[in-house]
Amino acid sequence: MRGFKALIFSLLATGAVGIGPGVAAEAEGDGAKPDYAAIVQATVTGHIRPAYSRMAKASKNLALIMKAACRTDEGVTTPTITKSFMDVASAWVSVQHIRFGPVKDENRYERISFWPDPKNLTSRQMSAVLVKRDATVINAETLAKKSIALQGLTALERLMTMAPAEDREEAVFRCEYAQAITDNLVQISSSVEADWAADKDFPRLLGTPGPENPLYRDHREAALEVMKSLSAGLQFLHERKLVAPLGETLEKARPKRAEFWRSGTTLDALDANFETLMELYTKSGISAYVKSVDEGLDKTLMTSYEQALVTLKGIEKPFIEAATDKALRPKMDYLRFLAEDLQLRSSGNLANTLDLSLGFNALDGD
Amino acid sequence: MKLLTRRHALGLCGGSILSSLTVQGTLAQSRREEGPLFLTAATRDGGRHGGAILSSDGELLAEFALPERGHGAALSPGMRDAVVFARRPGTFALVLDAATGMTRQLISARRDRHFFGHGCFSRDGGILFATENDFDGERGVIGLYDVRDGYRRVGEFPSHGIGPHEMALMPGGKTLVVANGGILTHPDAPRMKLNLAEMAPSIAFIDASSGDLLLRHTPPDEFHQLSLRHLAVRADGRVAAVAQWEGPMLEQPPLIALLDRDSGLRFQAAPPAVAPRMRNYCGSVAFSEDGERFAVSSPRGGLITIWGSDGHYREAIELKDGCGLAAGDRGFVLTSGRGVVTSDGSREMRRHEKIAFDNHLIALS
Repeated sequence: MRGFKALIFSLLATGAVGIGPGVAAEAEGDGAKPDYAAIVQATVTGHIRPAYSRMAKASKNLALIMKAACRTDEGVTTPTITKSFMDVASAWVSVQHIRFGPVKDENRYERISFWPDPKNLTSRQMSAVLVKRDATVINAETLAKKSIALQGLTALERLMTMAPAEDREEAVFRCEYAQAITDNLVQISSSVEADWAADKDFPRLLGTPGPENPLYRDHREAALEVMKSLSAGLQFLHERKLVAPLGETLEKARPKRAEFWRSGTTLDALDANFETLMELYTKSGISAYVKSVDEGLDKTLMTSYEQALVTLKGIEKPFIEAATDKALRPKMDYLRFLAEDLQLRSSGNLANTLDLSLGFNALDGD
Repeated sequence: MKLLTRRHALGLCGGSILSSLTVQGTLAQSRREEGPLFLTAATRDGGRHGGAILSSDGELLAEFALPERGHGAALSPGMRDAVVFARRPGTFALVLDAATGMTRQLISARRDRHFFGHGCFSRDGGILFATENDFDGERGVIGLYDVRDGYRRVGEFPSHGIGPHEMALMPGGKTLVVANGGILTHPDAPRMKLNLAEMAPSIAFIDASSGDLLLRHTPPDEFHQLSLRHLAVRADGRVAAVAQWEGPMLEQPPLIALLDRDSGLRFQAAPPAVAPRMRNYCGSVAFSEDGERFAVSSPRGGLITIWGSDGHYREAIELKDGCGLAAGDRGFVLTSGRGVVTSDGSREMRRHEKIAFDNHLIALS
């Protein structure tokens, strides 16, 4: 008797040119399965398209406001601009977890927002172009070909929050650069929005899997993208946006590792982040399915999302202060706990319930 | 024959990181009776990282713990030591006694370097070479560790490219061949690829004693986003290199290239019915025992493809999340993230519960 509980399957014949069934007969659970096609469809129509559409709209609005402000010499730091930037940042955070499809083309993802920026590349490269008055950054078309660190929201935020310009000439240059960034953002976000339209290649392939489909063989494989987005989105939120800036203890906090700390929009961005991941969970129909097979799990997940949103509303100082504020710190730690709990339950229990466990060996770059 | 039970193995690796693995002699006995053994990183119960030693017919003989997720492994000449490297951007490598499976020591990366997950030994077994990231310097390096001095890091030389991944020693022992994947990463930005637009992957031949670049082969411009990350070397010096495509998702470039030291990359395309199933992603490659074939895993597509060493496609085998592969006595031994061990020869498969085998498998022979 073997010491391990090992299941023996026979390896079916494999064709010489075509692909035999091989070990595809590997046991799959027999229980109820969610309707994967419906999950994908609902995610695209109820979550992805509206979210990219908000992003494109917010970018256009910011571009208009920027143009007006520059025309009247108001500079790039007016309250209207700040408010409008906040809308774009929140809209970006609402699609940041969608890391498949059109946003992967042409480095669009990295070009919209280069963050985290561990080596402060944005500052370094920006200083150089500002000193040189590099004309290629004040035109959206040429800017699109520059380093990703000079193009997106991180660069714009930096430009909006740096010390005032020394003279008018510099102020004008900064304004032109800010306009180029916003025009570039409009271009990228509109392209992503357009490429998600029903008649475009990617959504078509996502919705019609099959043996000839170069991206998805079946609806389950397509639904895996949804699951990956949820799980990786929660992981990114937990590890990069909470653990990294908060540190283990108050003394070890490094609040400047937070996203959008310069513009003071970190908490709004966190709010948008929990909100959008909850939206993905509900609008995809995953929540409804889980409710029908494991009501307790659904309740736990929903409660955690809601708790996070309520907790965020109770933090009345900017993130960088709250991270080291004795009275507020417990709330920050609670947020971090909720994010971790959501992540572990989603990639574990939830993925198993949906039979959408993530591939172990298919991670980027392994 | 006495075999360890899973409970035994778990008991032995539970708790401390460097616990002893198995009853001395068990592995040696198993090897005599059943052909070569195999070593792979593995994760148990969805989160406990470690490694496993498998018999030729897929028996799980022993498990050991690792601080974090492991990746590739190297075996020293004479089968003295086996080293399991951390998955990038990890900073440890674990040394095992290849004969008994006992853990010897943990190697730590320099503070300003991390491992990329692969390495190999020098011909005399005196030096361990590891692919590493000089992340602040934005360049790949090969770290050198003195085996006889407790794996002390004694130096490094450039990998002559960004993002070096798998590396092997060429026959003759004087030259290293390195797959520079070309993707710039930084451990503080774990999901960010910092240079997709300017990627320049290469296969570099490097003098193993001086670190000098001897030759470097790069894909043509149109394939500059083809990240060549894994390679295997045949006894006569033929190299098979496999890639992951970072370019537009609807394009299907060839993912496999053959080369000899003095000839450039000769790309090999899979038949149209098979190519899409590889999902533009290859995870591992190995030549067969007789050198006449090589196998390539595509874990995203759940497909293993077998090729003649002249570059002609032969067949495909479905294996969900299948990635690890190594030459065995009776064909390729294949492993998956779902705990499966199988072989293209025996056509039998064994599935171990609650364990996921990692990307790479090496024969301890």
